[in-house]
Amino acid sequence: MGTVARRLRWWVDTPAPGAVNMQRDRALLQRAESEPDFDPCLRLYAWDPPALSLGFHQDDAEVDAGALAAAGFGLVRRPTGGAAVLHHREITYAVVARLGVEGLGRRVLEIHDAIARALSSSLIELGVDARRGGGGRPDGFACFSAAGGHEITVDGRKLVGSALRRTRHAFLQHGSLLTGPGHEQLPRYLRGERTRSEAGVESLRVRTITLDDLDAKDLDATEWGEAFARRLGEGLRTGVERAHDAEHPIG
Amino acid sequence: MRPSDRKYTKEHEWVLEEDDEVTVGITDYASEELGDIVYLDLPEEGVTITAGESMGSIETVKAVEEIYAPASGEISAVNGDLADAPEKVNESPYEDGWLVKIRDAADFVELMSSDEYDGMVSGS
Repeated sequence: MGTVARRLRWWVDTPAPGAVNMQRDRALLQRAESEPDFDPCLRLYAWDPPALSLGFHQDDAEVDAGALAAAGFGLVRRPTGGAAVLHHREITYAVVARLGVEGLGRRVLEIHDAIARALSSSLIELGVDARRGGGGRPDGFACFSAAGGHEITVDGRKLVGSALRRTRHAFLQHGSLLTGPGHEQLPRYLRGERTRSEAGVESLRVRTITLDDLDAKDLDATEWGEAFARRLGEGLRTGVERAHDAEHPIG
Repeated sequence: MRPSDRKYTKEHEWVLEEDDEVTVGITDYASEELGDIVYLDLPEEGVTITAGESMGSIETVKAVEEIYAPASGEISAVNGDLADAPEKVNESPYEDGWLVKIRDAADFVELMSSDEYDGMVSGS
């Protein structure tokens, strides 16, 4: 049995550049690591301008920085693992908590399972036929090229990709819910895949699905965040409290 | 049965003291829990490490996390085979999948016998 959290706090953050977004996630993880009474939290956010994020150990030499800059897009490294994502039209979430919180656990699979349950049930509640992924792993440099067992699919196509970092006392699990096209353009900004970028774009397009494709384009971060937070809170057996919101809505 | 010739840490690492060097690896429990290892970021030879502090990181298909130094000292060897074959840690965590060797190791973190470690992970 873990420690029952006093509450789960959630909020919709101001859209921000990639470096700011990753700094905010790292700062939450550092606070959770150092503060024994840290309340589990869910932060929802967006990327302005769009940015390419690399997994913690990915080689940035594979990124065509010039092409990114010409498009006005940012480049940032995530504190979590996994493959590259072009964050364009999506709602991004970060769940941060101390290890051992009741309902989230401390083992890698416990954490992924608990969050995947809340992800899928919140989306189903909002009319999206979300399922757990199929145990695949990315084929090449792109995160959205395959769905792992803890990720979310619709009709076998990936809708939510996520990644985890665990420290001694805390974890950060963040992920992207695709809302519209844009993410599939990732290969255009990679050197190694540039010559086959059209094929790469098409490959990502057919392996993924977005809220636009599902006639759920009106679903915004606040509506989804409310459902996601409530489902997380049920798993944690604790109350949910909405914290300060950003001045600008994201969606 | 986990090897009884070495000691174990709460961070799921093992240490084997031989002559003036200590070999360090991660346990089968850790390698199974983390899943397939895709990348290891290990310290270089000659680097000085501090007990209890991060000395590198490990990435699996499911997560990234720190590798903590079980003792203070100087890195005297790094398992170079893991650069191209990190899966050796999953396949052979106590033999071919060792991570680093530490020279002049001191100030060890709290260590457990194999029986004590078995008890810790079976209770989690």
